Amino acid sequence: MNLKGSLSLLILHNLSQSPNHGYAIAKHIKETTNGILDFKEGTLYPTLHGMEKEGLLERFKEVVNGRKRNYYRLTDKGHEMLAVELDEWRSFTHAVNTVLDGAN
Amino acid sequence: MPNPDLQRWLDKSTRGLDSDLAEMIREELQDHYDDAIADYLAEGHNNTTAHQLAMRDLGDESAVRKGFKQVHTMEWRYLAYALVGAVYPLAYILSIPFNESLVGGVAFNLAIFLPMIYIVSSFRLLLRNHFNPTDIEKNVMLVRWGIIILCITRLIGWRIFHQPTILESYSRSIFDAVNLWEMGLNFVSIAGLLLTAFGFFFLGEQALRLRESLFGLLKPLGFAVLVSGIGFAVYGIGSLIGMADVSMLAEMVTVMAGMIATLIWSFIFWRERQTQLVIA
Repeated sequence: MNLKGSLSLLILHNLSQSPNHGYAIAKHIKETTNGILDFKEGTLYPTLHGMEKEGLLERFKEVVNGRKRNYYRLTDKGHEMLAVELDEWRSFTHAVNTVLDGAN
Repeated sequence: MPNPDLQRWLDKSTRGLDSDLAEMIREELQDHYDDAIADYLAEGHNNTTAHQLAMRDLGDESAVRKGFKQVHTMEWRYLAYALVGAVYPLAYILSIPFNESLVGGVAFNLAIFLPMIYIVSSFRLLLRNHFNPTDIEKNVMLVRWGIIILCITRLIGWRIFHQPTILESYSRSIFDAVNLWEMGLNFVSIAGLLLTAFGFFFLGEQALRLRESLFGLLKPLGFAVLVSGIGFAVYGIGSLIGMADVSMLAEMVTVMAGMIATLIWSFIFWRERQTQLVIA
C-alpha cells in the first residue's frame, strides 16, 4: 500500500516512542503492519532530512556496537505537529468510515 | 569491502549535492544497507540474495536523488529569491535615465515585467511552504499570463505602431490609435494589465487573510501586494479612458507598493534561508 502523505505521520509517531535511526524506523513500519504499508526505504531519508529542516526532528550521533550512527529524535515542534497530524488523521478516517458504514 | 552495486547506487543518489553533505548521506545509507544485509543473513539468506533484497528495498536511486535535491537546495533558492527581490527596486531606479532611448525603453519594459514572474513564483513558494492555500495557483497564473500578454503587446505596439516604449502609456490614450488594429492591440494590452492587477490583488488579499505572522511581515507584504494590484487596475482603466493624471498617479503608487513588497519579501526570504541554515 502506498504511503504517500502519511510517511511523515508514521515517522513522527515512531520517534515519539524513542529516538531511532532510519533503518529501525522503516523496519518498525513494515513489521508492525505485516508489510501492508510498504515503501522504498531509500526515500525515507529525504523525508527525514526535510522534517529535520522544518525543525520537527533533531539528528544526533550515537555509538552502537562501536559504530557511530545517525539517530533522530522529536523536537517540541515535532511533538506539536504529531498531535495536529494525529487529530487530522483521526478526523479523516472517521469521516471515511462514516461514509463507508452508511453505504452498507 | 564496499559493494560496487551499492557504491553506484550511492553515487547516483547523492549526485549534485555538496560534498560534505553527500558524504554524510552516503554513510547513513551505507549503515542502512549493512543493517538490512545483517537481517537478511540472520533470516537464512545467502550473501547474494541478501544483497539483492537489500538493494531492492532501497528502491530507485533517481527518486531518492530528487528527494534530496528538493530538501537540500531550498536554501539556495531562498537566497536567489532574496537577491532578486532586493536588486529589483534598485535596477528599476537605475534604469530610469536610460528609458528615453528606444533600446533602453524596450529593455526597461522587459526588465520591469519579466522579473515579476520570478518574484510571483517566489511568493507562491512562500505561501505554499507555510500555509498551502488551495486557490493560489489561479492567482499566480493570472499574474503570469497578464505579464506575458502585456510584454508581447507592448513589443508589437513599439515595433509596428511606433508606440512609446516607456511605461508612460498614459501619454497616449487607447483611443489615440491610428487604426482598429492598433486599438485592438491596446485593448489586449490593457486586458493583460487587468489580469495582472487581479492576480496581484487576490494574492495580497490571500496573504492578508492568513493568520501567521512570518516575522511580523506577512500583513505589510499582503497589503503592499494588494495595493500594487489596485494600482495596476487603476492605471489600466486610466489608460483606457484617457485620464492621464489618474494613470500617472496610479503608476507611481504601483511602483512604490511593488518596491516595498519586493523589499519585504526579500527580507523574509533572507530570514527563511538563515532559519534553514541554522536548522541544517
